[in-house]
Amino acid sequence: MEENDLIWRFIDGDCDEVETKALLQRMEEDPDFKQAVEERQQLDGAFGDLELEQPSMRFTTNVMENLPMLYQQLPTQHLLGPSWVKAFWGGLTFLMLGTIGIGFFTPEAYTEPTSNFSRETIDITKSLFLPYKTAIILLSISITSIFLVLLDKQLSKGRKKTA
Amino acid sequence: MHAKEADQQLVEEVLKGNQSAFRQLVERYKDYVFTVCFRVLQQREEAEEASQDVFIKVYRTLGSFEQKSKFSTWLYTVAYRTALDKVRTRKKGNISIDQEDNYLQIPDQENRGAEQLINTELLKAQLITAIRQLKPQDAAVVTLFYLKEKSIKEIVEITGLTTTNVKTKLHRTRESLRKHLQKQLGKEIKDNLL
Repeated sequence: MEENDLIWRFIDGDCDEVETKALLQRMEEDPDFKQAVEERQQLDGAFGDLELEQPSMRFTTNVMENLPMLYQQLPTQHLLGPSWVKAFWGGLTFLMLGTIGIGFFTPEAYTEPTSNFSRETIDITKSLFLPYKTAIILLSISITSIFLVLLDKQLSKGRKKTA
Repeated sequence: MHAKEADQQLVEEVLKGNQSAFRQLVERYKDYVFTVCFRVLQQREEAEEASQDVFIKVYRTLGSFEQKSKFSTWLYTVAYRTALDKVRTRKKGNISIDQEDNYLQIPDQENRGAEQLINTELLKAQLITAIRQLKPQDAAVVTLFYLKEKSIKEIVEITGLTTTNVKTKLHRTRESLRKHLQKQLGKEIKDNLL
């Protein structure tokens, strides 16, 4: 049994220099021993040549279908579609123009100069075609929306870089 | 790219939610995992089921993989344990996996008859049959040894056995297979001569 262990250790490359030398010498002198080594080497080779077993064709699909939803994939696209973004910008532009720009044409917005040294000024609160408070609220919503859309764009770029 | 680094990158991708990265890992290792399970369980359907369980378990616990060892070592550890667990829970007439009578025995006497291990293809075919008769743990150890990795240190990590234990099992298993094959192939040679 010890002899067999030695042979296997030799085949596995676990023998030291002295043992290897002694074994090789014995192989030269003893044909039976040489045959014993060669049989085991042949078996070792056969083991190494064994082909892997293969599962069915659907194996990978079956595994993927049964995976639990554990790891959330970060979105790499914009949260809003492009048509929605265009509609948003268009609507916002119209709203801002309507809120501020048109108001400049309202005659009531212009105040008379109070003295010879003052100029005609625009009373902003009267230049708006909407009530002042409503205009302020709409303006705040518009600015917040612009900020969120720009933030979304910036974050999407960041996700694309890391994805 | 080095295999370990490639596996590591795929693992990181999976943890970010990229399932296609896990598909790549499955494709890369499915044959190896299935081979280990099949050699232990000896039944195709059961081995396939066990192999699928292995990958699902690995996916679930991927977050806890610390990457101190290779991903493949960890994967084979799960495969080894899953296969042996299935053997233990198998209801096959309440046969214990350690019951000696059902497995290949190391004969008491040396058999150095005239038989030679000559024909490689015949040898491989007989070898596959003989491996099926090994004890599950022995079949697993010898299979893991001859998989790509072929490292005693990794087998120790996978099986939880000691280095001495692994080496002893390996030597004894191969020796018992050799003797079994000698007997089988000797019969074949004799039959061919008649």
